Amino acid sequence: MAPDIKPVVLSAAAFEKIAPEEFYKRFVQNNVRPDGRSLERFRPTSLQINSVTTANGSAVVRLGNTMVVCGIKAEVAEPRADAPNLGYIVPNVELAPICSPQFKAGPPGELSQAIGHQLNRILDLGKVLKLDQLCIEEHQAVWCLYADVTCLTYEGNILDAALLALMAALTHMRLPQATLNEDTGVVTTSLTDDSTPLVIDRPVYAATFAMFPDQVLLADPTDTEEAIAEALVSVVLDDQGRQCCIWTHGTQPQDYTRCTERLLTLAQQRTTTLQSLVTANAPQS
Amino acid sequence: MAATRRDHRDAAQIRPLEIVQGVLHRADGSAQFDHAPTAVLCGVYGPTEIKIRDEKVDRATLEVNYKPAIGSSNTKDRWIEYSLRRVFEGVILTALHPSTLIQLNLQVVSDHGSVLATAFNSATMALMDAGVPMRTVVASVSCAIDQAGNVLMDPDEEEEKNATSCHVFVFDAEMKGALFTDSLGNYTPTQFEHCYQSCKAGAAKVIHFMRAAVEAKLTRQTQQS
Repeated sequence: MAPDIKPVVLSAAAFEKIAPEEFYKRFVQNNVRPDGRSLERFRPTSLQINSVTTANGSAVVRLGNTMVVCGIKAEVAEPRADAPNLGYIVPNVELAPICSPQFKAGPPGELSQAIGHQLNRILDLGKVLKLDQLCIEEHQAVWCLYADVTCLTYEGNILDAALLALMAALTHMRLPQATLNEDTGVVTTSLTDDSTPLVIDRPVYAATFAMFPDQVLLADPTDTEEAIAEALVSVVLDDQGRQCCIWTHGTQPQDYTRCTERLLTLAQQRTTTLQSLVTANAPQS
Repeated sequence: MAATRRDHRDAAQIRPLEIVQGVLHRADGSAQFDHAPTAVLCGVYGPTEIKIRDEKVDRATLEVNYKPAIGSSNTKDRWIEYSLRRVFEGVILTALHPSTLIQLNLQVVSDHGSVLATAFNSATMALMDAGVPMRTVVASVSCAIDQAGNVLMDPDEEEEKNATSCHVFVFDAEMKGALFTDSLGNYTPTQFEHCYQSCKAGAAKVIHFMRAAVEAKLTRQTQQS
């Protein structure tokens, strides 16, 4: 007599660990994700501006369980000889072990440096703001803005969170009044109420999508979704809806001509939401 | 009228390509790829022993080291390493060599624009020379859109500097689609589409050239033996 064969019953958590792709496939077929979101829905996003009192400008961004703080510190520096009236913006992303066990202690890892450089490229080549407004005295002194983005909890989509925090902090920051004493060569600064905010020519916001088989798009992926996605697509648009950056990288070739329209529509909606979030959150002065 | 470029190329023309495989004696595989005068040298070690900390029990770990032509490496080079690693982790059949390390070492020999695309092409040829199993061969081409709206293929450093937007694409050999894209600047969806198609055509030419180079090398080897 044949023995009874009992089907193996797995708990959902075990199934997700053993076969994450298959686990996700079952959800995606039903147009839902394990965290309850529909496929093209971004996580709840909140923004708090200038809560770090020691910084010249700051923003705290929560994107679901991903939380970043961006603090901008303005320091007086010497301009480069070939660009005597241009200041500097130095974005830096920190992914320390405090935000996720996947990051190791010690010098900045590859991902944090790559995201930091991507922010720098977007600001620079995307012509987000003019650096001559950071000039104090030509050939002598300019402002150097250190924009440190620190991640507190990491659950994927660091680029969207970091760029939003950076844009919000830059938009609402105040530069101290600075005067150069010609005789001594010393710059004196004072923070007064009439200090002017920065002029942002082109506010830009990112929308990241994870590409799943058959070009299914998952908006605002978590770190688990990022790990099993065929590709990650980050679309950066400005407030007018013009394209600033498309950055995609992945393990499977994707024919982007088939999905750019959908990507752009979704990114457009996202940009409008984020833009109103940044402008609505003006701090009381 | 097509814009005249500094080096008298057509807008759609790629610079002369050159491939030399097996240039390094101690590496398991190596190649130098030129989009003359831009040149990138790549040496591959692996599959080789791995530090316990980096070990993955179900697949090989890929490590990319990129050294620029001038100066010490900085965050820009980490970004390039990240890009290369993301693409080649999908291309190399890492599951065939679990718990090992595959190391890609790139050295820019001369940087005259389109260096990222050249680095991708160089790494592909070095991996092929090392006999690392891959799912497909990849090829990369970049383009830039100048102030007048012309799409310039394989731009040099001047053209990159004066461009309104720069685009880099990596395609697989079957031309199913892009494994990597990086478009930055100010451009329209139509321009993006145009760049995508132009670079796809360009990548097909690069793939063709790679095939010819490998064929020539194999013919030489069979004649010698």
